Amino acid sequence: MNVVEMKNISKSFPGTKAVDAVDFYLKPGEILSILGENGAGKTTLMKILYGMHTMDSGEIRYRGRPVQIKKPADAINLGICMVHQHFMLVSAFTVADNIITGNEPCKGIFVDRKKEYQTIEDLIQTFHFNIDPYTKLGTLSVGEQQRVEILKTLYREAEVIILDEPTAVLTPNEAKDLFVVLDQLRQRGKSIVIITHKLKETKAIADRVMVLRDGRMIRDDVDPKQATFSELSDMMVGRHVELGVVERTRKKGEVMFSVRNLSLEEKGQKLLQDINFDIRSGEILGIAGIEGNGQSQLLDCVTGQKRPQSMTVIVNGKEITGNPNAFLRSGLAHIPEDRNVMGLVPTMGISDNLILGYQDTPEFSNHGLLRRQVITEQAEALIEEFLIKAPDAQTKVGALSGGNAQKVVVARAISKCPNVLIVAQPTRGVDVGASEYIRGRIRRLRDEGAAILLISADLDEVMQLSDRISVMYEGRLAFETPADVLTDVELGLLMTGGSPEELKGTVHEY
Amino acid sequence: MKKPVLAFVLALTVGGIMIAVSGYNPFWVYYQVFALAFSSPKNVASVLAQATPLMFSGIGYAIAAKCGLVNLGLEGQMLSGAMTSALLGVYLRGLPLIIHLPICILGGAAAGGLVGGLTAYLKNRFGAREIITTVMLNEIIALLVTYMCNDPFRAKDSIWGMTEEIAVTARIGKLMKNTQLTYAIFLAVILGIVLEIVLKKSTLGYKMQVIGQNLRAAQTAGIQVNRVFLVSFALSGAMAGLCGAVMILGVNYKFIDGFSDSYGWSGISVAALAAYDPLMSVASAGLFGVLKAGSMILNRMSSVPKEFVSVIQAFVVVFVAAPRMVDSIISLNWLRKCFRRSVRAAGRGGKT
Repeated sequence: MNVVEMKNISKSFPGTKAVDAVDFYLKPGEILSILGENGAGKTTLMKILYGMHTMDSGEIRYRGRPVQIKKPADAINLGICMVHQHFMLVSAFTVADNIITGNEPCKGIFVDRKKEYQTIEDLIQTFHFNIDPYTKLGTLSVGEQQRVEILKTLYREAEVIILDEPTAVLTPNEAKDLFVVLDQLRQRGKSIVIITHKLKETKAIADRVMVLRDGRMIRDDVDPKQATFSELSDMMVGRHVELGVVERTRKKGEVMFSVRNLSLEEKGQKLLQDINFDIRSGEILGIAGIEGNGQSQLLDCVTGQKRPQSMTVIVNGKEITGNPNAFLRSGLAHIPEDRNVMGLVPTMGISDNLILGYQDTPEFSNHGLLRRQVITEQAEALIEEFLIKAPDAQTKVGALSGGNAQKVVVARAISKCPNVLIVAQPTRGVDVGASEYIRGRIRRLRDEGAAILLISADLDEVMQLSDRISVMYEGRLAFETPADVLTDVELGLLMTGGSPEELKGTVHEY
Repeated sequence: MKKPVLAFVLALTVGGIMIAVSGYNPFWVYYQVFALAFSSPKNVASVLAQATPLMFSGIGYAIAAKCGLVNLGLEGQMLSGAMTSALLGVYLRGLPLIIHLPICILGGAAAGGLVGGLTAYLKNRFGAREIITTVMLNEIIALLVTYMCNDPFRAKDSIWGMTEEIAVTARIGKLMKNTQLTYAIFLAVILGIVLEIVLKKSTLGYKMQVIGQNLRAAQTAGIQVNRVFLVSFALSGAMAGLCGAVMILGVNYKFIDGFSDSYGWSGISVAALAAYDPLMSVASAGLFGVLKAGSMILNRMSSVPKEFVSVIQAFVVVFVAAPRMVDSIISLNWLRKCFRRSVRAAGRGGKT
């Protein structure tokens, strides 16, 4: 018998049908991967099961009997738990305290510490979690914190565990550890749902794959061992997409972009320490690293947003100083890491967003007045060239899908033919088709002679695009290598602070 | 545009309830207010005269709001503009009208602009929130001008706090005899149009809108936010200063202590109803002019209190500022909830 059955589930948000008459089932002791692009309805469907969204119509059965799930507490009582992409943990608490929060074992009005530690130690033992329950959460790595989240669900006696994009924040090594944990849970009869858009991990761990597209269920019986990457991606996107195109640079020129002696200290913390690099014309330098190791600060400094204690930036032989505007004018374009917060004004139209930062150039303004005609014409041309799906140039950017909104940011930067392009997270929250397109455009700009700095939390992306890879760890560029020399596991080791000497050991293992 | 209209209708409803509570038929009162306002050319002039200062302060609030700034200092900026133009009008003598009047008008605008600029400076330099500093400056300026018109600049033979009358060469001409309607209304309309163009067509206006709608994106794109704040706040203050100046130079001819009928504060309601659009603020000020003039005429004829207009003004702001409250009132969800609750209660009652 199936643990969970959902029949004919529909859910609309204003303007969109997020989930459209979807059927869902989950067998005991299986790992199901729900695959789909951003906005396909995967998370919405699971949030309905977890009680965070209420469905418009449909029926949920748990172990064969119909249930009403109106709020997360209902789901938890049934044994359905969800681990969110952003962890819900208190970093000042110990691991054990985090686990019991919300379900404290009580003795009168006091927390029954003895019972608490006993239960949790038992749990850690049974599932081989390898975590010390007495350490402060803040000292744990992201992968360990995720295990605490999973422990929390086990403590609440979950039978069904839903994981939303569980590997988005993990290094490849940590992802492997997670899969070991998930395998343990499967062996003990727990049912697990992974929401993801990554094909690699789907194939690595899932027993069965369900594909969603535009709120509708496409398949729910795909065998991941049989299906190929390209078949899975085509099901997800609805048409054929060439995946993982790799084309390294053919022609490297002179040094176009140099950063020297970059150090940044804030509130007594050394966030960046003595960073130096050169990028040649026609070259992409990728920065690999786990988020929070100084990448954001590096971005802020080399685009002029922050003034570090020391830094020399040279673009095409000329030193730049001053505000972000000065950096922009010297031919340094920027694709910011969070498009909705930093890159776009969602309440303004596409044409207005396409001149953001360039509004004072003679191309777009004349004696302080905007050249509306030129701006609209440019917007129409770019919408066509970059295949931005929108009714017209005045469409509000907030109404576009993630992929199309990102194309607006990319089009703005690339259309100015910059000497240097700083790209951060170019395909975060962007569908597969648009991601490949955007990567193609970045490569094209390189081939036209630009120097490109790529910062991405997605290691696969860094490995696919870069001609050279630098590993960032705790505010330093710890290691540099040409592309195609190290594997993702080796890079992952360096990203977590491993030294190149250790690397030699692992190279032999694989 | 739909939201402000809804807010206005809801505010009329609240005002209507107040009228009903004081024992009058709100429909009759509203009908009378609008009918009286347009019943004679003189009354129309009175509507426009009431609307004129509101146009200036409304545009002033709007121009700062577009940039994400909350200028609660319109009243103080207005008073400083009024005092400055009054002093220039009284103590500058022997100039022809063509020079004297523009000096007085510009002086008022400059004074308001300076006070507004000071607020922006405090915000940029020290991170002082403009909501706090503007309100505090209002208080300081109000007391300062009271002191000025009571002591150093008090008219010789007056027992009240007021300045001497301004020179004839400093007066704005009347558009219609025996009314308060002056040529200043043209200045308001022209400035409304000019600022509308600045906002929609210029790079400055573009930057203001980007800042107002996404400050982080503006900073990331290298827009010099502090400079735009300064310009925007100075413009806003200058409009408020003009509001005070035209009241002195066109209507009162002297600075009288406590002359302001909240001309500055009213700008907030006017701009809110206009969805913070300069040109629409002109129209919105006209609407408030109808309410103010109409209720004043009605108040002279019957004893209907004219204060309900202030209630409407205040509630426009409340309803514009609380869009979700308006949504829930409009969607009638609360009614449905009440209904369901009472049905459930009735059901429970039936069982026992």
